[in-house]
Amino acid sequence: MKKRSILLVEDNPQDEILILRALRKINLANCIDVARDGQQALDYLFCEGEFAARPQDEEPAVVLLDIGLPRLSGLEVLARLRADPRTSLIPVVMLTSSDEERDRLKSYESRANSFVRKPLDFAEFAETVARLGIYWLATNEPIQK
Amino acid sequence: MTSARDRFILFCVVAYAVLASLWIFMSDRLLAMFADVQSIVWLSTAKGVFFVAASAATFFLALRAVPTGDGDGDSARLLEALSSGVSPGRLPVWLSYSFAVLMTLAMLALRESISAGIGGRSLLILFMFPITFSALLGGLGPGLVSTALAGLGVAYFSLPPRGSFHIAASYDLLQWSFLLINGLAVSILSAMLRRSLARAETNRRLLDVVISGTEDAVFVKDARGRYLLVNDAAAGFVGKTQSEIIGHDDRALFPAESAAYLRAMDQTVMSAGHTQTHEEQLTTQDGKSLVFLVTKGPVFDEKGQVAGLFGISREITARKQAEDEIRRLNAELEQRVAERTAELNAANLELEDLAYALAHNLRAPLRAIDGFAHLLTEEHAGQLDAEARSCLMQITLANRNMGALIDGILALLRCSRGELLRQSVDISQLAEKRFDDLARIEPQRQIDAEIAPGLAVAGDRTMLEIAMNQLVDNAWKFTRGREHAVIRVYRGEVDGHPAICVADNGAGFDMAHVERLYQPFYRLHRQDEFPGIGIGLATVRRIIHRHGGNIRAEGVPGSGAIFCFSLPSVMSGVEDSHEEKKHPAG
Repeated sequence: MKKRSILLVEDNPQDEILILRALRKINLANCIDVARDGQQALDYLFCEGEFAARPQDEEPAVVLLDIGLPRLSGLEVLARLRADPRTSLIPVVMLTSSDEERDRLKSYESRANSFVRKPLDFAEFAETVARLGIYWLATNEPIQK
Repeated sequence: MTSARDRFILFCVVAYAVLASLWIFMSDRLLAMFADVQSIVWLSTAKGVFFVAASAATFFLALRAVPTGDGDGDSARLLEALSSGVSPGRLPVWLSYSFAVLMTLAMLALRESISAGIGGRSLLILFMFPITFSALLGGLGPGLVSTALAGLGVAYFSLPPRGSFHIAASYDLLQWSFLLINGLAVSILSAMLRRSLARAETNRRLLDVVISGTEDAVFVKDARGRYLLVNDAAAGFVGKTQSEIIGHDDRALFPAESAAYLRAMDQTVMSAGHTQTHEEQLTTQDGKSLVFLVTKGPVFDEKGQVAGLFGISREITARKQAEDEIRRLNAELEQRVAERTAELNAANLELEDLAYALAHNLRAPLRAIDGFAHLLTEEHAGQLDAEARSCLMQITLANRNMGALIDGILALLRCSRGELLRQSVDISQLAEKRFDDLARIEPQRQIDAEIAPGLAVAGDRTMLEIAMNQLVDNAWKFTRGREHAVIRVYRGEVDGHPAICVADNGAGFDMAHVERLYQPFYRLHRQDEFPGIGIGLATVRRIIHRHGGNIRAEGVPGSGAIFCFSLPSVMSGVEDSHEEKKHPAG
């Protein structure tokens, strides 16, 4: 069985620490790769640039994608992923502070698999992240390639 | 000072008295010449009838000629002023009387000198000459003077017996009587003629005063467009003298285009056959562009056919320009207001966007603070003493509070953004749903929720739900601690408009603070009494105002509060039953 991983796209270092910590609590910490802006996320997923050496067939089980990102926004990253046949089916969960109806609508229109708002309360936040990790790594059945 | 009317009346009475006395005296003398009684009776009757007829005719003429009294005041004086100096061939009074006397005396002398030649004939017809002249020149007075003088002179000097006023021959007496009657008639007719001439002249002058005095151009044209009359003002506009204009049409006065335009306008008025007022824009021959407000109407001939037209033109070029200028300035002002409004709206929008982004971006650091405080508590509890743990607890509480503030601000800002839909919204249903939710969270509270069924309004469902939830939440919150809490949602009134009301018997508030209720973050209660952030009612009000509605609050401290909001079209429920659904929570 191939290595199952999560790609976290998050530019806020504190959020990153808190998310990693929440996943570590359920022993998923070593399955996480982190991209810190939109462009880096695309490079990772298309195995380009600094990730050119990454094996093409190692798709993450899920991409946790923030919306407010430097360089390329989360919505732009999502659109690019969906436009490319190599990545069009990768599960993407928007994980964001935004509760704008507009962002939600845009995300679903671009075929995001889920839209999750980051709760302000840390306990709630940690629990949400943990549930996402377990769900996409253990519960969800991916496409068999 | 006696008026013309009084003088006229006095004159008539005196003249009548004199003439009637003369007539009685002379006619009786005439009767005396007849010997037989039958003739005397018959003549006497005829004389009486004649007297009545003559005096009736005189009365008719005199009464008709009575000048208007002083009642007309200024207008009478004005007419008198205008008619003074207008009698044709007018002479000073003394001169016309002297003329009458001299002419008559001359004629007496002339008749005397030729009396030998004319034999026994009286030839009284000669005296009609001075009488007529005197009357024409001087009016009734000189005419009568001449008549009387001629009558007396002839009776004394010419008719036998000479040297006496007695007239012997009945034939002479008859002739003499005719002279007097003719003289009287000529004098009266002359006076009437003079009066009507004077009146015509007065009218002409009146018209002339108006026509030449006005600044408006006044003109009359014949059917072919040739000018029959123009006033100074009209001549001034085209820069010609009146005599250069009379007899010419507009082609001689204006450039071809304007002349053709005027001709067309004239034709329209003449064929319409009634007076019309319109604006005309003309170019003069020296290239000036003038605007006139013109009243034109047809002039009819005696057969009732249109024979031409009259016109009164007021130049309104400056007024038109001023009007155009005002219009232009208004348009400019409106545009400037629109621009400013747009700028202001844009600035407002920018500010709200900024506030929104700010509130939004505060979430991430807040989450971080909360998260790391949590990590400390959870993972390093062993190294912390009680006070440190208490500090971390305060950080968490402060965080939670700030999170609520941010959410409140975002909710408020969201209510001013986005499109406003107009849907039919069932308020009763929204209220019931909220009560159910609250009852699920706090099942231990016993609250009577009386919600009138079928409260329907038109508005944005999402926003009205936020507003309704806030009002129900408030009622729920502020009845905490009340033994028998009752919350009612029903149809009420705001400023005479149908409204939705939410009433509770909770903590209430002092009406002195009613306006501050809606200020964001302003609170009437302490956190330890009723926790909250104080932005809910600001949001409710903004939602109601965005709908074009109004909100009113009434409160009594310790007894409860009522919040009523109207929307421009609160629709009446389909089933407006008075039966209220009891909705006990818990």
